[in-house]
Amino acid sequence: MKIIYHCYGGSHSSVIAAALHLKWIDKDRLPSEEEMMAIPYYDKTDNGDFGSIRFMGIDESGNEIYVLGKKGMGDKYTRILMGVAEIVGKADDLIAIDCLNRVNWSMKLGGFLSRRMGLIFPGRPVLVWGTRKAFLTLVNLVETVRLKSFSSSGVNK
Amino acid sequence: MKIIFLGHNPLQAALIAANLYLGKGPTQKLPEGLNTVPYQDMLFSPIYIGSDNKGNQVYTLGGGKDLWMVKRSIEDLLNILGIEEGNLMVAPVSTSWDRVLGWLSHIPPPLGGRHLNLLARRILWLFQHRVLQELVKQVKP
Repeated sequence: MKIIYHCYGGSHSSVIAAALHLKWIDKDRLPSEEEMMAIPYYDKTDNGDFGSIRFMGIDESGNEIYVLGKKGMGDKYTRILMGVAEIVGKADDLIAIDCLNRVNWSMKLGGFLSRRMGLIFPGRPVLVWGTRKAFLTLVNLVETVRLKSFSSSGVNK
Repeated sequence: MKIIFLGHNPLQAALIAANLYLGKGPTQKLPEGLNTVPYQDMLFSPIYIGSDNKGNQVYTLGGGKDLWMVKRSIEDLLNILGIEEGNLMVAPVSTSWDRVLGWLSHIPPPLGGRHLNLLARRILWLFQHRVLQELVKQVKP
């Protein structure tokens, strides 16, 4: 199964969600800035990456995990991706998850300053603070997705 | 093969392009049965419009403002799902008239937005369908 986490730029909430899914960061404690910056693509993308589906890794069940930046399209992008997968007969092989609704204002402001304006300072500290504040809601989202992927792949059947 | 005409809205230029491609002329007519589907349900999901004489299935899809971003995502998605190139083609359909209609749609109804939009649609129709005919000629599955 392919699991795509998507958010505005594909560099913050979706990347943290993918890293949690892949168990690259511990879900039981808040990650440090160094741990977050060590995750591929975290606060490292640019405008040319919008729309690109980027591979992050394979989880313990063999699911391929991807991230994607889709600007402000919200859950509409899930409908587009799932709709296309459906017409090619692969809807059962795909889960697309919108992470944008888990993003707080600090993440939006920090991400905007850091990525759009190129102001690493003060953008990144604000972003990291916001990411830590949103961490538990992202953990909750990822746990839901993991359960969904288990039941879709028949692990719990 | 499946052909997706990707427009900002699935029921405007993309639908005219799909109908032109299928030889139905420059019309915004939907296939029977779809007229009862709620408008919101048709946005951002592929809508099957018909098949051409070679059996290619034709769809329209609304992609919002950035069609090239959506096209890139669909192509990447097909790649990761293991769909061979040539099984699905995405044809972005965008004309400068879409932008005019988009601006007009933001005028509030009390200021005559709805009537202005309808009037503009009728006037722009004459120009738009010629542009779309040129776009559709480039779609060769």
